[in-house]
Amino acid sequence: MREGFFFLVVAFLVLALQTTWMGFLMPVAYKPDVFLILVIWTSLRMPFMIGIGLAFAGGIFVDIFSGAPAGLFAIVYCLIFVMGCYLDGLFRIDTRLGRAMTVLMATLVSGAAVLLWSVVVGSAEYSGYVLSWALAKSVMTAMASLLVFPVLDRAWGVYTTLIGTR
Amino acid sequence: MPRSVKDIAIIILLIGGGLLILFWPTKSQEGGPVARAIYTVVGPLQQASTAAYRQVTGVWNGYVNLIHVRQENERLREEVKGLKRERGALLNAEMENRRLKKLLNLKARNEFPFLVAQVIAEDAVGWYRTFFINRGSEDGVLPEMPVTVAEGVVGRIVKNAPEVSQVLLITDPNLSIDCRITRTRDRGVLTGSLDGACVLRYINLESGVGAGDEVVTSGLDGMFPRGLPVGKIASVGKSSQGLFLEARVTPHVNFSGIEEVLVILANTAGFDLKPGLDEKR
Repeated sequence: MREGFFFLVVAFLVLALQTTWMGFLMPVAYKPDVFLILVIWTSLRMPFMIGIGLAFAGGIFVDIFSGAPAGLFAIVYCLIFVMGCYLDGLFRIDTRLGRAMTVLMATLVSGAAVLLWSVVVGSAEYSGYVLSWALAKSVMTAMASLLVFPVLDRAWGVYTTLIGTR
Repeated sequence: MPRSVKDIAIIILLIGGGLLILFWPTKSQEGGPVARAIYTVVGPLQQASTAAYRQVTGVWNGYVNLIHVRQENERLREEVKGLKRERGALLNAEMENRRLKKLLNLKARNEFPFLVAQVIAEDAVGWYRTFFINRGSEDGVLPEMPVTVAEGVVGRIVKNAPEVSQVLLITDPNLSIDCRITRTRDRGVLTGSLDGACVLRYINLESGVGAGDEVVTSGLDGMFPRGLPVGKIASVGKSSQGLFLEARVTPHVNFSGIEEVLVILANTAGFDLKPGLDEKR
């Protein structure tokens, strides 16, 4: 479970960064979902059985550290993980553009799930703003993925050199 | 890509597990052992990160402020003069207010026990309007407790752990507060809007409410004490069904600039509903 340890350390760091420093760079509502980028990265770099478990665990972390009801992001990140694996099988998305497009789609899926749940519990109202907000946030996350993917690859490279993969 | 029955089984198992957690009927708002363990690991990281962040922003703000310090001085001198005049008037009003409150046997707002808490983190994904404070059940903070700052209502506690609590802001659509318009005395239900403002719903059609009217908590939801400032009405229109008026409310609180908050520790049931109850006890 060396992959699991790596994921946990990165997940805790991402959570700490996401809940503190990210607000300095941009408004909270538009900040990129770095955790989602980590899930997509996991779908491209880790074995399916381990990766999906980590995506589920990551979703639980996000549920705890956001206003989401427990379980929502656990499901969403599992689905996004499967989506990442599926798209990679079909189109070989592991290029800069492919990864950015996948992250953009995944953020839209995640936003749709959040807003859909808000409609189910009857608390949200829809307007043109909601769509533009979700789109802007998705673009921000896709742009952030261009930076985050190489950093994760580098960290994974150093980690596997030091520890080994299995 | 999932290829085998085993892969598909694990997908179904995890998504099923997620659905089970999501729809589990009896959810405790007090964090479970998993949440407590995660808070214990991430909490110190967040506190250290926030402290470093404040140092950096402090230096940056100091630099920016230095540039405009002369104009700021002029403006502040004028402001002090105005505030001195206002202070005199407010002292008179406060004296009158105290006398009237005593007469009416109402509880003054500052009689509620409260706790100062520091904001240590914000929402992890940004789809929700929440933040975290460094006080939890060990300090007596419980879910549903109101959270305020000097400018007005901030939100309420939604989840807590021994050392950390999560605050849901009034700008989140998942929070509703019973409010009153100060001038017309009409009531309405305030909910958050996804664009960062608030909407006051179910206002009487006959109400003469207008832009600029102040909105305060009514105290009738049993959650927030009466009379806490919430915001100012920006615009008024009819609801989609045409049965009520709806007003867009701009909150008094600048949520992005909050560093410390007050958690009102009083029991959540019956704020101001039974005046004088404590004295009778």
